[in-house]
Amino acid sequence: MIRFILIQNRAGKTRLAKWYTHYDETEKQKLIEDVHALITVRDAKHTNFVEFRDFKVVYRRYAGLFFCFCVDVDDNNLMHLEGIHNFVEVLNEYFHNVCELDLVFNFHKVYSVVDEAFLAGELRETSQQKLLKEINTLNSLE
Amino acid sequence: MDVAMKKVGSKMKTGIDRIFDKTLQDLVRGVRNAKGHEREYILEAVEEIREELKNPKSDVKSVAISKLCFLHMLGYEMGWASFNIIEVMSSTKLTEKRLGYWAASQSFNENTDVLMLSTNLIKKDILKGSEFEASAALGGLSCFMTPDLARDLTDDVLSLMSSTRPHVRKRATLITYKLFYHYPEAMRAVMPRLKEKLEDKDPGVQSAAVNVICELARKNPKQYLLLSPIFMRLMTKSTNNWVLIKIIKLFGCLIPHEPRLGKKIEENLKTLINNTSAMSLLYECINTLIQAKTFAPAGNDNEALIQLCVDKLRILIEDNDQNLKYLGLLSMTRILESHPKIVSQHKDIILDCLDDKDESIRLRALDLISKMVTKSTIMDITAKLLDYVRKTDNAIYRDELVSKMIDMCSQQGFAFIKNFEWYLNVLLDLTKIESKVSYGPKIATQLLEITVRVRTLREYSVAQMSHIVQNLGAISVIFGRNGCIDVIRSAAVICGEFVEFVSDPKNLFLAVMNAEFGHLSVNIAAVMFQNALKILSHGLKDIENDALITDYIALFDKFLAFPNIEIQERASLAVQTLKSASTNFLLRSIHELHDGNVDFFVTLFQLYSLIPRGELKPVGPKAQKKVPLPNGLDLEVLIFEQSDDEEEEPEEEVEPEDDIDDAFNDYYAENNDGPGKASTSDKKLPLGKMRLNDINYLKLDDSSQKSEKPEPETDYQTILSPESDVNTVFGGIGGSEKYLPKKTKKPKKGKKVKKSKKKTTEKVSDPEDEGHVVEIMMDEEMPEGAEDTPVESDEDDDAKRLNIDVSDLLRSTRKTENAGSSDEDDLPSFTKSPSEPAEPTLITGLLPIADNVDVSVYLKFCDRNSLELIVHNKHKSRDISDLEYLSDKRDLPRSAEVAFPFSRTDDIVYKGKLLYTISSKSKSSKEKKLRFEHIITPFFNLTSWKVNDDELVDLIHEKFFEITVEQQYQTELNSLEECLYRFSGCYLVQSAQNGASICGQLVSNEEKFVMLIKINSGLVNVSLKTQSSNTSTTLQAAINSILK
Repeated sequence: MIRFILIQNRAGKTRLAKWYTHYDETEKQKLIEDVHALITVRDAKHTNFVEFRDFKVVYRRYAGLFFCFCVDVDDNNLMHLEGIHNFVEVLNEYFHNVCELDLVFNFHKVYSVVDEAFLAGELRETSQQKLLKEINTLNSLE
Repeated sequence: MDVAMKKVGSKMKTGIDRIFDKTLQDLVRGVRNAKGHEREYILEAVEEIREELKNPKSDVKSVAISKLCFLHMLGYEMGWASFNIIEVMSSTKLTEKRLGYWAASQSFNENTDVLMLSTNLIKKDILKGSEFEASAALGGLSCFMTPDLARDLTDDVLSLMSSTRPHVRKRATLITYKLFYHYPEAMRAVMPRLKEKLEDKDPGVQSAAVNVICELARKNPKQYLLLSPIFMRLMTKSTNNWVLIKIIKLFGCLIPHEPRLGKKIEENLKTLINNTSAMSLLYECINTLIQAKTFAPAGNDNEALIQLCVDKLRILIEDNDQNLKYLGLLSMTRILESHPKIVSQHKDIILDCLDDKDESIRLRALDLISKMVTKSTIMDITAKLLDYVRKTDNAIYRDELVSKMIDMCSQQGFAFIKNFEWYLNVLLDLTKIESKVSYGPKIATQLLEITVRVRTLREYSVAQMSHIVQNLGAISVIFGRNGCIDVIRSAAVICGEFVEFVSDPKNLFLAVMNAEFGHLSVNIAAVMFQNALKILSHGLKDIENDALITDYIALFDKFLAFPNIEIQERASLAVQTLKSASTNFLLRSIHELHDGNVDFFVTLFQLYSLIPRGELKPVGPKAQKKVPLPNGLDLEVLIFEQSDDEEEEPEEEVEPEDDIDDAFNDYYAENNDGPGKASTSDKKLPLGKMRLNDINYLKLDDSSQKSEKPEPETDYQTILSPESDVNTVFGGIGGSEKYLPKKTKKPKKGKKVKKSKKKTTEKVSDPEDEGHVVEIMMDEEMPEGAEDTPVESDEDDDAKRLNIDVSDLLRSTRKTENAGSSDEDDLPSFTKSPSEPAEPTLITGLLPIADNVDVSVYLKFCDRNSLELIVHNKHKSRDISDLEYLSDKRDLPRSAEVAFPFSRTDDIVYKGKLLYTISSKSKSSKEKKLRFEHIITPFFNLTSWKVNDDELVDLIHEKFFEITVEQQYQTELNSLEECLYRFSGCYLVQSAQNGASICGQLVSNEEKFVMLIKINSGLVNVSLKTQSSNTSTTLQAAINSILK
C-alpha cells in the first residue's frame, strides 16, 4: 500500500503531502526532507525507484515537479509508476494543461483529486473519466 | 470551498470586518512574495488565523482552517486548531464539512485527544449523511483512524458495505483495512462481508475488496488460502490490469504456503505473459510464476515455463527503459537460485549491464553475475569485472565490484578456481589500481589464504611476493596511496613462512633491512621485521663467515633505538639471537678442530634459528570423515536408558519407509477395492503391524504409561524432522510425539539414516493391546505447557497485529470450494470398507443461536440433510401464539418447545426471523420479533466420511494424519454430552464417561481428521490429528469458538 504521497518541486517546496500512515509532525518534515534529498540527486538515466528506509519511493518527474509515492517494498513498482502517471493525467485534464502554479493556488483541489483517486493507501478509482466526473460533481455541489 | 472563500473575500471588500483581510489565494500569493521574510509573514498570518477561528461564523472558520492547512503543508504546526477542525467538520454545509474532514485527515493523529469528541459526528455522517458526506467522513477516517474509533465504528462501516451505492460500498470496503489494523477484532464481524464483496456486482467494489485482502494476506498468507478459488475465478474473469496485478501478487504470497496452487494458476499466468502489453502486469506474472516454480513439488519441474520467464526478462533487460532493466535483473536473481543454467544463457546481456549509467542497475547486475559463475566462466567473468574495476571512477561501485569479485572466486572454498596462479595475478592486478580503494585488507587476506592452502602455488607466490619485498621502497609508496598497504604484510609473511622458495634469501633480507620502515604502520613494520629474521635464519645455514653475522647484528642494532617499542623489542630479539648464533658459530669452529663433531653444533644452532618447522596445512572439509571411529564407539547408540517394551519392537516396523502410498496400497489390498488396487508393493504388511502407539492408542498396562516420560527437549529437537513445520511452529507446545518412546532400531546404511530421521516421531505399539483404549486415555494428564500459545516471533508488527484467525469465517460454501482448492490429485480418494462392524454415530445436537426474554432458539442438527429450528418458550405462565417462521405458524404453550424444519443451505451464516405474539392474563397481547443470525462451525458442513473404530486405529498413523496438536480449552460446558453436541455433524467413534473420539472430513478440502476430547471440570483437552496444518488451524479455531 501507499504510505504517503508527496509532490515537491526541485527546490524541495512541498506542493502536496498526503499521509496514509501515522507520523508525528517532526517525522513528517524529516520524511519530506529525506525524500527530497534522495530524489533530486537522481537524473533521467536513473531508475524511478529508490529504496527508502523500510520502504521504497517510486517517483516521476514532470517539469519541475517530483511526484513521489512511498510504498511497501514488495509492491509492484511499475503499477505505482502507472498510478502516478494516471493521476497526473487526471490533474492535467482537470486544470487544462496543469502547471506548478495551478497546484500552488489550488492546492486544496489537488487534495480532493488525490482523495478521489486514492483511499486508505490504495488506488480507489483508476478510470480517468469516472474520476473527472466525480470531481466535477463535487465541484458543482459547492 | 472556493465559494466559501470568495464569500469571505467579498465581505472583506465591503469593509464589514477588516480583521479578515486575507483569502486563501491572498495567503498563497503573500507567502510567494514574502521572499526573505517568509517566516515573519507566516507567523503573522498564523496570528490572524487564530483570531479568525474565534469568530463564530462557520464560513470564516473554514477559510481560516484552509489557510492553516496551506501553512501546515509548508511545515507549520496546526495541532492547536484541532478543536476548530472538529467544529468545521460538524458544519451543516457540505463544502465546509469536507474541508473539515480534509483538515482532520492532514493533521490529526492517534494522539489527537479531540478525536474522542468526533465519534458520534462521524457515525452520523456515515449513516445518515448524503453519499458525499459519507465519502468525506470515510476519507478522513482512513487517515486518522484510531483503535477507539475503529471499535466504535465497525458496525457502521459494515452497514455501509451493503450500501446500494457502489461508490459508497467501495469506500467502505477499502477502509476496512484501517479498521482491522487498529482493531483486529473487527475481522470477525467484517470478514464474511468482505468476502462477499469479492463477488460484488460492481467491479470497483470487487477491486477494493481484492486490495484489502491482498494487503491482509501479505501479512498472514496462510489464513487466506481458503479464498484462492474465488481469486482464481476473479483472475480468469477480470480484464482490469490494476486488479489482476493485485490478485497475481496475492497468489505469489500464497504459493509458499500451498505449492499446489502454483500448478493451478500456471496456465493462466502463461496466457497473460504471452498476451499482455502492460509491463507492470507482465512483471507481476513473471514473478508469481517464478514463485510457483520455486515452490513446485519436486519432479513437477516444467523448464519450459521458466524458459518463458527468462526470455521475457531478457526483453525487459534489453529495453531502453532503465526501470524495466532494473526490474528484469531483480527477477532474474530470483530465478537464478533454482535454475542457474537457464539464466546463464543470458550472461552476455547481464554483463553489459555492468556498464550501465545507473548504479542500482550495475549493482543488480553485479549481484547476478557473481552468483552465476562456474568453473569454465569464472576467468572470463573475472576479466570483465577487472576491466570495469579499472574503468570506473565511482569509488563505491569499484569497492562493490572487487568485493563481489573476491566473494565470487573464494566461494565454497575456492571451488570454481582451476588455476590459482591466475587468481593470484588477479589479486595483484587489483593492487595496481591507482585510485584509493578500501579492499586492501581483503586482498591481503586472500593472498595469504591461497598461498597457505595451495601447496603448488607457493613457489610462484613467493616469487611474486619477494618481488614486492625487494622493491619495498617504491611499492610501499604506491600501496600507501591506493590503500593496499596491507598487501605488504602478507607479502612479508609469505616470504618468511615459505622461505625455502626464496631464491636469494640474503638479498631479500638486505632489501628488507635497508628499506625505510618509517612510513609503514608499526603493525606492518613489526611483521616485516619478524619475517626478515625468518628469512635471515634460513639464509644463515649457508653463512660461513662470522663477520657477516656481525654485519647483520649491526643492521638490527640501529633499530634498538627505534621510537616504537614493538620494533625495539623485535630488534633486540634479533640481535640476541644472532649473537648466540655467532657464539655457536665460534664454538663450532673450536670443536671442529678438536674432534670434528659438527652435528652437535648444527643442532644447537637450529634450536636458536627461527626456521619454521611445522608446515601450515589446510584441513579438507571431509577430513573428519576419514578419521576411523575408535573400536567400541557407536555413534548411533542412544545414550539414555530405554524401558524394556521399547526394545521389543518387531523388526518389520522399521520397514514401511515408503510413505503413505504404501499405507494406501495395503489398505486397498486388504479391502479388495479402491483405485489403488494395483498394489505393487512387495513388502506388504499386515494391518496390525502398522498400528501405532499414539494418543488414541495406548496400552493397557502401567508400564507403557511409565515409558511416556518426556525426553529431554534438546534430544528431541536434534532429530526433529525438518519437513514437519508444525513442530517448529508450535515449538514446545503440546505435541504428543516427544513424550512417546523413540524407535531404537539402528539404521543399516547411510541412506537409511536420513530416512529414519524423518520417521523418528513414528511410534509403534504392540498389536495385541488394541481396543478399549479410549477409556484409558481419559485419565491421562495433558503434557506440560499445553496451554502455551504459539508465538511466531519472525513476523513483523503488522502481521502480528492482523493475525486474527479468520479462516473459519472465510470458509467457502461447498460449491465454490469443490470447484477450486480441493486439489487431491496425489491422494487417492478414500473409500469405505464394505464391512462395518460398528457403525459410528452421527453427532446431532442443539446449538443455541438466539435468545430473548421470551424464547430461546436452537438449531438442531438432525442428520446430514435436515436441520430443525427449535423454539423454546421460557415463560412458565405465558403462552405464545402465532409463532411464525417462514410463514409456518404454530402456537407454543408455556414451557414447551416447538420445532420448525429449517432449510439447510451451504451458507456459513444461518439467519432468519421469528414473529410471535405473547399474551398474559393481566396485559393485552403484544407482537414481537426475534431475528437471529449465526455463524455455524465447519462441523456442520462435513462430508459423509466415517470410519469404524477398528479402521480408525489403523488410520491414526503418523503418515496419514501428519499433524497432531493438543490443546486445552476453558469451557462452561459441564457434561461430555453437552460438549459433544457442539460437534454436531461429526461422527462419534467411541465415547466414555468423560471423553470421546470423533472423526470427520471437511467439505472444503476433503481432508480427514480425528480428535479425542476429554472434559474435566471446566477444561476440555482436545488432541487433534489432521492431514495438513491448514486443516489443523481451521479446526482449532472452530473448536475454540464452539467450546467457549
